[in-house]
Amino acid sequence: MRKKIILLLLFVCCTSSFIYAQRKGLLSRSFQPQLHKGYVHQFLDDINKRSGIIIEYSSTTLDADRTVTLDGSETTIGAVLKKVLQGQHVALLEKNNKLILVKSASVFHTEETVTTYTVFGFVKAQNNKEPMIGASVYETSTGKGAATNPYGYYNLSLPAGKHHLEISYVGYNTGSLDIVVSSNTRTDIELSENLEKMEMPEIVVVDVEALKKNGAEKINADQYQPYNYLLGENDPIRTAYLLPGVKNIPVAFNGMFVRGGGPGENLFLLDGIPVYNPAHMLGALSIVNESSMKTMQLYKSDFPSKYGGATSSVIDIYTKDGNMEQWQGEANVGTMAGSFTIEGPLAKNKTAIMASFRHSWPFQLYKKSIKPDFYDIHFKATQLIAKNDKLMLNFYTGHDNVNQVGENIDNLHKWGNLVGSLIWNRVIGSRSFINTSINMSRYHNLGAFKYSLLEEEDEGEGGEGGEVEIESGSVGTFASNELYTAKSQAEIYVNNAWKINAGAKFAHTIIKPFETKISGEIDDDESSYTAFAPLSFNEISAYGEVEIKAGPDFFIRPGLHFSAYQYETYHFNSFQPRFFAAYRINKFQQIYFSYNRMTQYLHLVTNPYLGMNADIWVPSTDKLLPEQSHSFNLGYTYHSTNGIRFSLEGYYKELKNVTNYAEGKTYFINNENWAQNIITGKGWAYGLELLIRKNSGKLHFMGAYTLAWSWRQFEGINNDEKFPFKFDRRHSISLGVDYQINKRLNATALWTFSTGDVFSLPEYIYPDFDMVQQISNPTDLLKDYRFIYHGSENDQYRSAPYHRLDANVKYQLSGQGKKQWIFSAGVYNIYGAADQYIYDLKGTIGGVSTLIENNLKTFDITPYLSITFKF
Amino acid sequence: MQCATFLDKNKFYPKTVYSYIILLILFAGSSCKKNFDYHPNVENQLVVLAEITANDTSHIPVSQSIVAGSGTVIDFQQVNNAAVSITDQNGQVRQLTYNTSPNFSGIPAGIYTHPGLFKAAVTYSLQVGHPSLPTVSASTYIPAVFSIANIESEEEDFHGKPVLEFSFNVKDNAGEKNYYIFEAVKELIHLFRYFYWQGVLYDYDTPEGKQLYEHLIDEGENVKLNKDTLPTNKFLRLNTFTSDPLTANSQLHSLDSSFNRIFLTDSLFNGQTYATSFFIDRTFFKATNPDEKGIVEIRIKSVDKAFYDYLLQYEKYKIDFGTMPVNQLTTPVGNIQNGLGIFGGSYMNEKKYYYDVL
Repeated sequence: MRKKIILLLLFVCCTSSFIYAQRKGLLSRSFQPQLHKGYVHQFLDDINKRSGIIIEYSSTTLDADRTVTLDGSETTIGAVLKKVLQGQHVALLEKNNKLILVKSASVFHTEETVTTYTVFGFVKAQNNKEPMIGASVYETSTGKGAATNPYGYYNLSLPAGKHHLEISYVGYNTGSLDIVVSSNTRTDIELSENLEKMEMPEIVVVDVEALKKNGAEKINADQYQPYNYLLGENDPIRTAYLLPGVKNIPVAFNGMFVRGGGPGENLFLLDGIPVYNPAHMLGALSIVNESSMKTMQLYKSDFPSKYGGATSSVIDIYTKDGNMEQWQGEANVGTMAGSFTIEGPLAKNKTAIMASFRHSWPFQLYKKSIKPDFYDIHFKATQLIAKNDKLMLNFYTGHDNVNQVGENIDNLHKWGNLVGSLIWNRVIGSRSFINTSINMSRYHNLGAFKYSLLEEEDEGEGGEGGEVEIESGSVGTFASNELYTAKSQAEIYVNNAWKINAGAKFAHTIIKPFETKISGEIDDDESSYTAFAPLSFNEISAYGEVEIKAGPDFFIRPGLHFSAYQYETYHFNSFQPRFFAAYRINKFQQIYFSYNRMTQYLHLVTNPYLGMNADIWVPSTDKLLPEQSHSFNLGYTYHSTNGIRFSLEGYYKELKNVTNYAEGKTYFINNENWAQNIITGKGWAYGLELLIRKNSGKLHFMGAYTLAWSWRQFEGINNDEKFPFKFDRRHSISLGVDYQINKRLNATALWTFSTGDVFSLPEYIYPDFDMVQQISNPTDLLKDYRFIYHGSENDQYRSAPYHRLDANVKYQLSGQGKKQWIFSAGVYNIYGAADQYIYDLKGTIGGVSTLIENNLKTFDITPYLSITFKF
Repeated sequence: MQCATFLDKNKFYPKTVYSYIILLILFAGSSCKKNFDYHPNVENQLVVLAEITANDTSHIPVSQSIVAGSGTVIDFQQVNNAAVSITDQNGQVRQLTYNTSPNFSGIPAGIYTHPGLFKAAVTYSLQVGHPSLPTVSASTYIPAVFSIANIESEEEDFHGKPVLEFSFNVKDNAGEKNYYIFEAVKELIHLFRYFYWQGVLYDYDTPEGKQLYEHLIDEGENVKLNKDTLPTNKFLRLNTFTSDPLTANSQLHSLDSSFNRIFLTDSLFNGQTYATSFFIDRTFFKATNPDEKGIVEIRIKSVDKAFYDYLLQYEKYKIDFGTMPVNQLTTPVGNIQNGLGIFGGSYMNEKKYYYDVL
């Protein structure tokens, strides 16, 4: 019943919007008054004489002798009447092709007299014609404004007449444009780069903060650049890791954790294409190269209806189209890798390409705990077809091959992504924009580790006993995924107050699981793993939402995402209501609220305790139900006139059918029973997030604090009681400071801290059951380990806290023309802190039971240097 | 509180912000000094690892735990001062006594015995008291009598291993949920050679006995050397295999792997006859080493649910040990209140095979 009401409301909203949009009448007729200043009756007579339209009125109906002054922007009957009848107690009727003024108890409703038209088009950068995402288009006299969508498209309804537009975008000069609106008008706008800007882009401080329309955190590629260095690689995704509620745990692989969710609950979109594992080097570095990225939007508190398939967050990355004007490029040589990006027009202002390539060095210049070997290639071609159509061809591939070899570790990780898409943007009429695409995403992952069991050697003559290996072997997993999608998303701009977003998607996923292989040595040959029958499923989804500006300071966005899922004979329909509302308290402060229900059909089954990348994606079945989340968020924002922004957000999230980290389970032992080896449970996460930042002036800083709780509950684990999630880090802090020493030189320091992770350890050791029955197995090599470890609680201990300090100095040297050299040097992990603490127990019969502590560091104290040449 | 102050004024004062950041750093810095210190706040507990079987006598091993990671030597002590009693569902109590037999000398647990036999379809309660450790208790149900039929055994080859295929029909009881465990052991036997002289029994295998016997033979005395096989109460575990997809083993490991026990429930054949088989590794059927001579015993058991669950988790534990960190191992969950371990009831059908020349 509740679902039906929601659908009905949406239908009513949509229908009424269309009716409103189609209102037209005599008022829209073009008319240029002869008078600039005069009495009311003079203007009405002028219309009667020269426009061909009759206005009937009585002198007793209105104050016909009031003096009126026009400003010259009035170009229609409606625009003139709006000014002439302002403040009069009359109403306007339209009958038999006549306009009749009648007495009214209320003041004349001026809005009804004016025909509105649509001004629409694209906002682009002047130097390269790159569409700008989130640029502001603002009409000064009416106060109407709009922001560009992810493809640079804007749509603004304005009354007929002359208007002054101001267009602004971070890092660019504010543009202005005078236009006369007498019909729907396509107006493309170009902004020039602010070459006088400080190295860190200034935040444009406007008198009134724009009313929030979503809870996304929008990050431009260069916005927080100083904080993003990892051994000379500028990784824009690292900015997201600094935000409250987001954790990056490098050694946890694919290691992004948002608000108590696991890494499998994040949807990473590269130009709209899902990427299963968007990380290099076990999660330390993202696949996104700064030189190819344009903007990133992170959704963790509010999920617009177009997003589905992730219960914790959506990271939506948009890359550059390519320079339509001229060829340009960038080469980077860092301590860890080298990269090269080139972009330019194949046909000026019509066809552009962008290609980037990055590869780790075959040698290492730093102290290593892992041996990275990765590359990524990104190619994009953009073709403008006529004025209203644009085609984009996207291709990305990347691969990692990481060996972790150390005193207690011998792991191999190989994974890679291959994604591609063809995207078609079309402007339909003056009020609609549609984005249609076909996408493909493939992922393969092989993880293996070698283990050995040691036995204490008999003491020699000197009384010294060593350890001898009595058994060794390796465990390996391999799996691959393929995803094919076709989707279409439309934006319909009814007027400035109403916008409708709607779309549909079809997705076909094929998961190819393979056996868990146990052998003597690590086997990195993917073809040697025995394949099981592919697990395939289909999903059809549709969504609709209405963006309603219910006043100058109030915005709501009700929406619904629907999806239908089919795996073999299992079928599941999911109605996912979404709601966002924002209220502007005053020009400095806003509050906002959101509710989201999300459903996810893919389960990421993994076990971070194994110390290896054992990620396997599996589909939902009648036993392994789809994962779902409900979340409520309440936020507050404040911005000051000197560029300081502060936000505080509280959230509560419930998770159903989570599968992550079901301890002690082995997956894909055989094809028939894989689902029985995966258990599902419940989860809760709640907390407070605080963010403060200043991005203007010489001193920039940001500080983020998270207070969070995250719980899990599985039947049969921890006596069915809830227990803390593995990465339940109570406090997290990020502090970044960037100081502009002069125009060319700036220095940055970044410090992060978080509470340690929870973990389990057995409390007792007691005799082996068979041993007590006097049963011995002659084939058992582990005679010295014939006892039982007993643990009564899950995650009852907490590790030492994590913290790290990085520092960076950047020097910018301009060369001739466009040529520019950027030197960056710094130290990563200045005091050599660990990324993860792992605890285990050691002991054999007759030996001592002791605790082992492993401090894992992806990178120890590592100085680095990076040289970037732009041309 | 500072936040409330500056927000009320609608202004941010940089000095206030910097102070706030410094406070955060100080707070975080002080937290950094805390390090993980592993001291489990637990006391040792009594451990009971007992199986009681219908038509068999009481035989209850009692041990005690060691606190893990505490620096203690892993050396389990026999508990010899416990008060052990078993009460049946009718309230009949049997007090068990500590058994000092040399047969139990090498066990990391004190053995408490009583000659009374257990009965099928009866619930028994155990209580173990100790002078310094908390009293533990547990109860278990010995399932009703069940039978197996159409027993066949055939020597086979299973994935290159010489095995004995043991086929049989389980006649499941309709009245109760049944949990079956199949296993095979070889009970080691002791060859007891003895003779009588002047009405006194002498052990031939002692130096004195052998010397006397040889002397009597030399003297022409009519002394007969007798042989007898005595159970040692020590067993060799014989690896088993299964290809039956209904067994719970299919969820533990790949079915070409060896298992200590085969696990099966009557979920799909309650009250019916179910034909199944399992394979037993023949490697140790015939011993070349005299110390490994014995009798092959194939046991088909119906066990209490808690016992089944414990042994299933124990099997998983044994499979995973060494390939997983200790904190990831499945902890077998028993039914001992205030203590650790399991008190499990079983009804057993047993088949014996004699491969060794005794």
